Amino acid sequence: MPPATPPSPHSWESAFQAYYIELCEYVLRFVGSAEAAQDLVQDLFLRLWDSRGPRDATRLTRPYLYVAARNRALKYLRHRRVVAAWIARAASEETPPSDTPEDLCLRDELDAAVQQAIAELPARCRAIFVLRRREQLSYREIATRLGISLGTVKSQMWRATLRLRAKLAPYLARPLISEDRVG
Amino acid sequence: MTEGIDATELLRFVEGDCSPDEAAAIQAWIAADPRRGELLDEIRAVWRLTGSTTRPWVVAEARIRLLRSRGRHAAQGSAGFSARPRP
Repeated sequence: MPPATPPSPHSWESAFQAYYIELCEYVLRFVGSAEAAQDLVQDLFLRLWDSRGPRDATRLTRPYLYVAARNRALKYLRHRRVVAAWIARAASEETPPSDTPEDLCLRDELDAAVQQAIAELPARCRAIFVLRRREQLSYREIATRLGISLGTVKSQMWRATLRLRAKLAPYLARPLISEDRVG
Repeated sequence: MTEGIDATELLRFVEGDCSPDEAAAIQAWIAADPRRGELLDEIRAVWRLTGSTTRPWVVAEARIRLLRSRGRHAAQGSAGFSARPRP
């Protein structure tokens, strides 16, 4: 039997591998719950799986997936009767641009500033922040590892966030890229 | 609905560690004051600068969950992905 002609499951799988995480990140901005974000992205891919066919070439692309994810996220918020002002805010979320080589280059410069800012945090604050952001431990795991209370982990994380926000203030505004690229 | 919420909850919200109900309460709290929205944007920016993702998403687990929910058909699909030669 000859192999199936495109659209093959292969392209569906590659789209899933390539975009699952960024779509979860995007939807999380709307819903604020990772559990809900994962379910929404999963439902999107299930729908695409069930209706796969000739249109896959357009549907399994980044722009299509972002629009579909956005629509699902907004529908979810309306269904859950989230306040209208939040839905309006969420509706104005932009699709994050794909990284250009220029972005990656700027990102390197930025990384130096970020590393510096993290290094300047008070020792305990820094240790907690690094365990969370770099080693991706849960708050509870951090508390156990350092022998401190969950409350301390939370308050130190908040402290780290506020300090980094102050130190990195010049870099926080979107877009990450320089203005002159627009012109 | 938004009683008892303070700014530190924004961190949990950004990281997605909220149940859907908790998230809805925080969303209402943020929407009630533009300064809270600004703070949210800044925290997200700090997160964007200090790591590649907001939280550790596990693609492999998600993929298995998804394929399981479509049973046999999905399993055939995954065989196609593994580049195993077809009989």
